Amino acid sequence: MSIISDLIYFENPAIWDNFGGTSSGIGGLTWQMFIWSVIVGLLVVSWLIYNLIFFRHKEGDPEPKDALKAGVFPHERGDVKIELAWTIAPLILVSWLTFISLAPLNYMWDIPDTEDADVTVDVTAGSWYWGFEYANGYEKPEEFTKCSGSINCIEVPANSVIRFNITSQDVLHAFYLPDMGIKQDAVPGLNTATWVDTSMVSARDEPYRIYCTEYCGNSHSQMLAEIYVTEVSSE
Amino acid sequence: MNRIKVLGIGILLSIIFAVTAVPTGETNPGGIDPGISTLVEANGCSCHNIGDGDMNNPNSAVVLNLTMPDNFTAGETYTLILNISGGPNDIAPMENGPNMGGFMLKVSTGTLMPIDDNVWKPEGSSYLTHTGGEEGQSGDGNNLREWSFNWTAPESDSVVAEFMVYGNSVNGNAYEDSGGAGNSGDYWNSGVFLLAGQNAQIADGSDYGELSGPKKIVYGFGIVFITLAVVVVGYRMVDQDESFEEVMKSYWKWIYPWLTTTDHKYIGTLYIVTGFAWFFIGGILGLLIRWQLFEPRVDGDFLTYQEYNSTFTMHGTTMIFMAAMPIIFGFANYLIPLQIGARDLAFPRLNSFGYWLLPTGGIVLYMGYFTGGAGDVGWTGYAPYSSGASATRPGTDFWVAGQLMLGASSTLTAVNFLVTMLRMRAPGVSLMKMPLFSWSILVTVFLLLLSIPVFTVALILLMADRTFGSLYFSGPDSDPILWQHLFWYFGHPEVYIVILPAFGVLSEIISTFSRRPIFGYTSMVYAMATIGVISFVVYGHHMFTTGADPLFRFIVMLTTMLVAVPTGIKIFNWLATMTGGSVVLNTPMMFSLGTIITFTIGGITGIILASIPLDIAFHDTYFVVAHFHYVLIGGTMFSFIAGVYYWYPKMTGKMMNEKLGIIHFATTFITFNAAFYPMHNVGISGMPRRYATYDASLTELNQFISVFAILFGLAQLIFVYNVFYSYRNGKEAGDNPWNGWSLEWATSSPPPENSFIEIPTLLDAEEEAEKSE
Repeated sequence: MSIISDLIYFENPAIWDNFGGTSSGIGGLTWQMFIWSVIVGLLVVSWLIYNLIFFRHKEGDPEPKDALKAGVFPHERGDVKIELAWTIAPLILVSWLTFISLAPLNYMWDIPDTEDADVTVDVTAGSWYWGFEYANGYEKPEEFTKCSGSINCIEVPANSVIRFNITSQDVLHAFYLPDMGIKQDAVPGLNTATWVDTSMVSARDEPYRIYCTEYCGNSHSQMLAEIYVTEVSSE
Repeated sequence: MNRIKVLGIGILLSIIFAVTAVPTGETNPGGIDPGISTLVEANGCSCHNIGDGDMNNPNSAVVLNLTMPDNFTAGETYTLILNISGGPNDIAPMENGPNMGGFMLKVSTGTLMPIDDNVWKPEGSSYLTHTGGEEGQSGDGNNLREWSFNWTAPESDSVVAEFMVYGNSVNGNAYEDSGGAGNSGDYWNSGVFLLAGQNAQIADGSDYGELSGPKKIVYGFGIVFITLAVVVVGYRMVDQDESFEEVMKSYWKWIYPWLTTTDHKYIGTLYIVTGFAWFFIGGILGLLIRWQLFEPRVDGDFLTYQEYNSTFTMHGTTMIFMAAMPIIFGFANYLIPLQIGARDLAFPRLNSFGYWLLPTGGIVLYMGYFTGGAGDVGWTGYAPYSSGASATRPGTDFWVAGQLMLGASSTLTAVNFLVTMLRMRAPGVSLMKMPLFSWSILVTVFLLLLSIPVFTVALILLMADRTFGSLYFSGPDSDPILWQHLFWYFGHPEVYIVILPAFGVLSEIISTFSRRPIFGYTSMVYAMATIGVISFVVYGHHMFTTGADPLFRFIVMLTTMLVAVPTGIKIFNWLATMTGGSVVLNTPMMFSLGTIITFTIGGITGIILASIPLDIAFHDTYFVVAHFHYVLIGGTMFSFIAGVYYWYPKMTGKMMNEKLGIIHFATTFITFNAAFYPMHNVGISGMPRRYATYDASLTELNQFISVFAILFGLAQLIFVYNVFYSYRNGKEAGDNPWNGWSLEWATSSPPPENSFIEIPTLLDAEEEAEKSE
């Protein structure tokens, strides 16, 4: 049965568990998108089924008055009012969907400055590893014991704002935290940045996943890293 | 006349001579290695690369040696010894002292660790180098010519670890005494050492190596094909008592008209057959991908990662450029002259040339498989990976060359159709009285003509980067994002190029089988034109995560959302056409209605992906894979399969088998949705696309997808069988079996050699009605 539940339940805390909406508002956006998708999908399918039930050709039906004839351009058929209606309705719907995307977008793009972030991490992507370094003279708290080195492993405090400065040494890579809904390309010769508020996920002993999502060669699917979110006692 | 010929040959020869005589390729025969960002790293040592005066080239006098075990066990740690001999230090020997040597060492897998303070692993990197250069280091590895360090093997022992070593040989005295220039100076060299795991199969390395996955299939098909040919020819020779020459002659007689034809109907058929042939080859590649993903596999378990990368590259390229587009061109070739009442296209020989570039370009693309690995850059070919040395060579060069040929083919065809449709319409066929399929092709060829040249330019730049060492995409001052702008400026219209003709096919079929005119013909035309215009200003939505200008990204989010409006109009108009009609449910109609459902799902996920916050979460995951398969298979392929069922009677004069058609539709529709719908879930769970292996928690869903993907592939065999079966056994079709209105139904099935006995005149129903009153 688990395959069935897998098909119905989208397993991802970042976009699904916080269904009503998180601070980032993505949960709410996902929720609305899902509802509207179902409404539009059902509208199309039910209209289709309605047509198939009520307008099927039966033996002995008379031909419609404007039936098609080979070599004759058929009668123009249409209704300006109806056509305008289904031009304007989708326009309103997509405007609404764009509008509700703005709040989370504004939140995501409002990347805190290096000084404002609790922790700033310099991320360097290479084929095929992630290098992490705390920037800005951040001193590692005692609680951080889970990473043995600075390659493919990073530990960050819970309930704080983390800024990532990302760059690449060779080809394109992309820094992807599926559990936190964060993705940013690593571009050689360019410094990009993204950020995450770790209060959206729980502190735990198991790591969260970091993937590379921009195709970068043979070991693309092995370019994995771990991010630990650890509770730090505040003094 | 003769002199012009001689002159032409002369110019051609001098161009060829110039190209071969100017060895521009030598400036950087290996292309730019993006893994090494500076020359400092490239020659291993930054402080004193002087002496032989050529810091860019290695010196073969320096001999590197890496002492290591015969093979390794997974997870075990080994101590390896690197030794340098030869070079300046041997010319003027030094027992010990400053600056005897230096090295840098990278490994493809496993972890390197220093064991003493002679070796140093810089913060944040995976490679090792010697100590002595940096402040605060106690050891002085610069004064040695031999270093030891630890290497921890990876978790899998079925891979081969590749050690890349750069070593310097230095004579410190010479350097000190001569004030920097050095008598015997500082030379460097590099070397590659391979260390195989216990269970590693070294693929292709030797003549006796086991064949790799795709090669097995290629050879397998080759053997089957040759065997079949021998059996068929042999049967005729023995049974019909014909000589070998006679058999060959009879085949030649049959094949000759196909090779030399300029008739739009023959070329159209060739296009369609070639397109479907590539569609099946691409489908087999797709099934290889699914089999690799049946469970989380390690490198080389079924395909090696490099083979996997080639496989999805060729799958994508084949499906878009060699399956979808040729099938579209095929139908356009066959039907456009018939629908607008012309005898042929405007330039029949150009048309033939455009066709023959397609199979040849395709073969060039696939040449990579016989040269040690086809292109592995993805169908998008993102630079700087594609411009660097790590992409397969020459496989990726073949990929670029093949793409150029396919691009030329499309451009020529586009010009041809544009002229034909604007200049050669029969009396009565005004632009606003063309069938909607013709309209969709008209919009498509406009898009082609405006977008393909940009791609061609990008490909030429890429080829220059790869072969002549230019630095458009991967130099220190070049822009790695440039390729994405050029590619997607073409790439996004390209998606509409393959979906608009599908809209045209659906409009024709739905109107015919509802037995009534299409609802809102004028708004359908305007909707298609609008989609065509908008398609040029939305391409940035492929680049939401690149860090491009936020305003740019915001604008393309708006325009992308707008695409939904004309697309929605089309879907609602189709449904409204059925309402009030008299719907006949034949196979083409069933496929069309199935397309409406799957395409609606693909369109909705498109809107979800247009929203930047959600795209940031879903970009480059399987959610995107699900989206474009719903649009391209569920939209384009389904409607063109419907098109085959619909126009097959016109092309062959025989009806296709209805029962087989219905079985084909049912199996295809069910297995398609079962295979591709769960990809949405897999993507939301975070599985990135183009991954050769994945998180074990997703195994069950991936197995489900793989099984149904294979069933989907098998279901298409019913279609192939039906096409051949009906060609022999189908009922006679007659001129207008479905009661369609457009001009192709006014000629005979199959159409006569000149398409129309007499150029027809398109009548107008309103005028007819007035006349009869």
